Amino acid sequence: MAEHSTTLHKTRVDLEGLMKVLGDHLYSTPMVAVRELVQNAHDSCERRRIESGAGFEPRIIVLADPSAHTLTIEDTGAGLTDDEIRRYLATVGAGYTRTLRQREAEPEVGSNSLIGYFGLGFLSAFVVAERTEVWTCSYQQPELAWRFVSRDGQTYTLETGSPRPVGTRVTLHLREAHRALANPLAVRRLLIRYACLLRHPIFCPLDVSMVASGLGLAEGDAVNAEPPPWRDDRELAPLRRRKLALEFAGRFESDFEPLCTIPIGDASDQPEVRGLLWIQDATTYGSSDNRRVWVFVRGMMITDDARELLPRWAGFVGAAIEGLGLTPTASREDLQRDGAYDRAAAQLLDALVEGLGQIASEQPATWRRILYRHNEALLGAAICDARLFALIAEQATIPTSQGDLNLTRVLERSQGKIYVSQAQRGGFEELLFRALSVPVVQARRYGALAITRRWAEQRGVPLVMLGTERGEQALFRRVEDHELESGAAEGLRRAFAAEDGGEVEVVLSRFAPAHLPFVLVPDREVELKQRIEADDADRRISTAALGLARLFTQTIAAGPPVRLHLNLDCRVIAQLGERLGTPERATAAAGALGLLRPLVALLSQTDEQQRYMSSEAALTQICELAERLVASAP
Amino acid sequence: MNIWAWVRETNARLRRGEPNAQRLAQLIDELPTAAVNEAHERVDSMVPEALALARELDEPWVQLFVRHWNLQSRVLHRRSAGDELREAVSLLDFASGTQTQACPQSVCAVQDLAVCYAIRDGPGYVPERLAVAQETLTRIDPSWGCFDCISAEYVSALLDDDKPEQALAFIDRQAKIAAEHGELEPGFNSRLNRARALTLLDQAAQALEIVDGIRDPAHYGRSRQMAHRQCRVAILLKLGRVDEALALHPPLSAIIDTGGHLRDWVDNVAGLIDVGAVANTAQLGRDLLVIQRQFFASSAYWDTARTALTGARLAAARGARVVTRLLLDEVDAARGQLRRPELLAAGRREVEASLATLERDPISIEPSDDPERELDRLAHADTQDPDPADHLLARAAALREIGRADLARTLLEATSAAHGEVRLELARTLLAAHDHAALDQLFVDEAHDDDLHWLSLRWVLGQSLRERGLLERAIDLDRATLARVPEAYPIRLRLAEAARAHGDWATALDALELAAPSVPPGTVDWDRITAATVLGRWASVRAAMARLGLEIPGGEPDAPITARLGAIRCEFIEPDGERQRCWAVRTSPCGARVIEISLPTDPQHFRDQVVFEPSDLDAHLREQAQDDHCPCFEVVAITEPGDTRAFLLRGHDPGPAAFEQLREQLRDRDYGFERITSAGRTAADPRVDANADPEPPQLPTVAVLIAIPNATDPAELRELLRVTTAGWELPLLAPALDEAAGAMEASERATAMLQRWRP
Repeated sequence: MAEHSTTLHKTRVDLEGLMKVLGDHLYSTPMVAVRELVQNAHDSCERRRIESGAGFEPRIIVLADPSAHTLTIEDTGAGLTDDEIRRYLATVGAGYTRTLRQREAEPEVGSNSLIGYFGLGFLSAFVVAERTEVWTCSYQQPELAWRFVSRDGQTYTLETGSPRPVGTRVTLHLREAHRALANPLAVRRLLIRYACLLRHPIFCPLDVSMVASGLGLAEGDAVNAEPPPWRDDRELAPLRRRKLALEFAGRFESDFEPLCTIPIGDASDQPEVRGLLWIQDATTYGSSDNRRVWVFVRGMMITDDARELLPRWAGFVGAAIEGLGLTPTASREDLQRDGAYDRAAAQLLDALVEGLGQIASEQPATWRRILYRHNEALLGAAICDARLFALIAEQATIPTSQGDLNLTRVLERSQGKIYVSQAQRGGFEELLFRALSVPVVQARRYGALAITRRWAEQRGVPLVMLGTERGEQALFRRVEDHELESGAAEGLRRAFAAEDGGEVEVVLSRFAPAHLPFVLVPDREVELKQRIEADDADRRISTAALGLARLFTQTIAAGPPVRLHLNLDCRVIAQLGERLGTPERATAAAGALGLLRPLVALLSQTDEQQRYMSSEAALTQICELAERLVASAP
Repeated sequence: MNIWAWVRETNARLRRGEPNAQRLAQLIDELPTAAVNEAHERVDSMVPEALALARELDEPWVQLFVRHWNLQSRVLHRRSAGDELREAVSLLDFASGTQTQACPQSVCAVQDLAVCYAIRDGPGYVPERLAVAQETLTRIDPSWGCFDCISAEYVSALLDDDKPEQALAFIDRQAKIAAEHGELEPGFNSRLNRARALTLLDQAAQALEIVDGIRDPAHYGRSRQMAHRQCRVAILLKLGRVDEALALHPPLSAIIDTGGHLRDWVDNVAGLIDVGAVANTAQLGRDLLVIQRQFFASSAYWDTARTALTGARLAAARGARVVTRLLLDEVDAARGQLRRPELLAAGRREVEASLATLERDPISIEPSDDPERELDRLAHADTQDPDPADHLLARAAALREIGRADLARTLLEATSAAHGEVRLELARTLLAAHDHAALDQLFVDEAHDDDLHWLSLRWVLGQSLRERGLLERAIDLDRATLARVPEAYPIRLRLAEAARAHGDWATALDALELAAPSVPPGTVDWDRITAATVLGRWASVRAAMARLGLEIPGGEPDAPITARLGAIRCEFIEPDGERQRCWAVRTSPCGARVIEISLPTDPQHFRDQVVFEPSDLDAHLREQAQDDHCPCFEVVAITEPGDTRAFLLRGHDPGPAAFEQLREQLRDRDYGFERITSAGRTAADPRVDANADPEPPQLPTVAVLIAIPNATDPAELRELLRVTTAGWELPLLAPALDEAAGAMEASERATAMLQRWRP
């Protein structure tokens, strides 16, 4: 029998396959290459500062050459020796920055100024370039320069290069699909956003010849010349500071102008996150979501869509933040959802809410504009945060039947109650609130009901919900028979009974407005009871579910599903009552009844009307009455 | 049909439609996410609109979807089954109609109804819940999204019935059916319920494995993430890993807004107290009471009774006798709503026994900061003496401190007739609770109030009237109060403020005049000036100015003050709530005349004589603007309307000489005139055909506003303009003026020319 032995093997890596996977799937967009290479250049400058001390002028120049289809990033950083080229540049996953970062704990090395971590940044070059050239000269061997060339990242050539100053120049010969990166204006716009927080000046001239001709680049030309507002410790007038903040915010919005800004994090303490919020100057709706959050970590832009850091109601807010505690994912295009992330979100929420409060008290014109632009969204926001509720509830406007009004004004016009309608079109509620001379809150609009309800509860103001049983009780005050002349109540009920014994209860009430003689009101609970308890329900609804439903409907008192409320505050009804109470005077009321009864049906536009009288019958009766009037005229 | 496939298709279809449909698509996209992520306020904000749009667009399936997710938020997550039960029955009815039967969401309406009953009295409705779930499961298969949910409801019923073994067996059965159908991954609900059943069967270690196997609970939404967390707390407690359980146990603030988490929280906190990890304090008693009340308000009667019983047990454990008794009474009240109240009998007997033991111990007679001890002390004191007023107030205060403001109020109401200070305390309590109707009732018979409390009571009533916006009644009340107690200056000042808000300037000024001598200069004097200016009482204006040290213009004391005190801006609040700012000349400390002509589309205030609130709305800009600062004041009254209307004219700028001639003509008629475009503005010559000449010559243009009295016939202005501009190269166009003068054809021609020319 053959003996079997166990041997140890090493797992192999298909470099081509790995490069393809990493290149294709690690980065979501070719613009990331610009970010990565600028970041490398920045780290190289930092390395030179850390390792060789002061005495050099750090700068990074990004040149996009549309005629040559190249993108070049040049720096005056530490450069690389040939050994370092082999160990760090040409080895995927091995970045010098990580080694250097491990020394960051040493006080003399300095603070968290290095960006890169995973050693994958240079890989991005091969995604966009068909050929990548690197010229470099290390501060450690300033007399030697090297030239590295690679087409696909899997193989490369390395030779001594012509003497050059200390630093590195990377030239990407762009693939056809990525030649947009050779557009200087586009690249400059990108850098204005991506690199605005980097410490070392970054230049991106629109004219390549400026550099080629040896013309100096002034410090003020750097894309990151102006510090972000939260790092700007110059003595500036408040108006100027506000203007600069608006300009900074304006860089990040392509669709909306910023209306005003709110700082995040106080310079005097050590907040987790610092940055700037801004309110967009564009009208939004309640559920619009134009949140835009740009996140920078260690000075480099990680993502422009961390919208979840803002609350959902902030659909009209943008932000740019930097957070030391935030951790990027491997691709450095997103953030890890950890405790630091949650704290950052909490900080942004507090800054936004407090900032809005400050704007309301210190910049009333701006606050009014915010209210005007984002009224509906703010209604929703007010429901989600008690502080915002206190700020907004009185000032935002609510849609009502008399236009958009704030709640104080609604209350003033409503005699101490607030009326709310969730009515469907054509229901009795619509008739009623058209007749009422008070504003009725349109609850069908975003946020209107929720905020009105809470505001009213806080003030003990009664809320009358049209279309509900409680609303009905609040609107219609029942009149007892004994409050009327003898026979009047019975007479009215008889006179206004439904046609053909229809299921309508005639109820004597008093309600506003006095010029409305009656209202036909469905009892939706009784209607529901009738439908659920009908035989037909057994065919539609499964047995056990129906059983549960009937447990509920059995608690509803049986009765007519429609009520006709006669308004005793209306003079004609009161007079009719007086006449109908005595038989000898009742006939005098016939003419009036002939007009009023059909009107009951015609004023209602839904099914309730049909229970009382059909439209045909109503119109017929009116015409007959009109004929009699014509005939009786002299 | 898969519900989410239908949602996606419907969404895509609506997004291709009109703006209303697109908005509806946006709302139905957001609703489920908001519900499962506990953004219930957003659900409340979105549902009315979504429903109205779905009805308007005649989308019954979408209506069903919206109503179901509304109930999911309210019932499943917030555990509310009050009005929601009616809505659930109504939805079941709607879902079984011919229009909606085929909608995949119609099955879920059954779940909503079943869960309502589970909330009201879970153990009491076990047979019905099981029957409903079983019946529904026969209609669906594991490919339906609600298979896991309906199965979970079945399991929940079994657990409420204290049958964890059966629950486990059912879960296994359902898992097998799902696997055979190709659904190999158990659902979230299934896994969590399995863990719960195992915990109840003292197999906590296995339960922990199950919950830890759910790698990313956040993926299932915030609500499930919290359910997972609390389940883990319960398991860790069972395993005796108390420190870990305590560290994971969420604060009440994290879950108070979502009723679905409260029961687990109560059970866990009680468990932590029992092992000594959390202190059993009066504050915790308050927290449990808040939860109990929330359950009751949600019609969750079983949970109300359970929580009250837990609260009573813990109250007895910390020696709070009165509180324990109160809670036992509440257990009894809640049990009345339950079908199987006997399930709580044993627990109740244990607490009763603990209380009996407590009551045998002597009570300290020393006052205490602990409200529970205070209540026990005062209850004992009551047995020795009849209720003196100070005891009543102390009891009311202690009741409020333990979260029993309702009982405090009842106590005060029962005893207010006998004691003035109790009545006052009651009034304050009612005001704080915004119970204005009860407050009105309290004042029906105030003749018995002694003076000491009478004034304070009136103060409270006045605040109530103001809060309700009943300013007339508030004014009448304060007037009557001052008639009896004229030196009540706070009331006089309040009267002035209310009268101002109500537009009763005379009353306001009278009150301020009477108050002024008793308060330091500057306290009320600006308000006096404002009110007096509205009323034209210039002697009062001068008197107040003197107190403020302002320079008083010469003339008779009663003569109006009409100086020119510089340019300001006035901000008008228009009837529709919009604000408009206009330039004005200040004519007195609080008066101005508007000199700016508003656009014809805006309310017109040209030449209005106004009174304003002398508080600069732009004070915060003063520092930056320095000398250039122009204050802006809010207008409170228009004493003399300018009574003008404005017309906008646009056209060719004829040059300074011709322009000045026009201006003079208008000035002679006392019309208002204002140029609103700057020099240098040009437009292409309208006489040149743009097609023929790609670069037509540019002509200077101008836009002006002219204001005329409302009583003036617009035809007069039109004629004046015709004559004055007859020699101009091109006319000034004013289609609105033409129309107002009845020259419709000219108006149409002018409109057409403006559209072409755009000067």
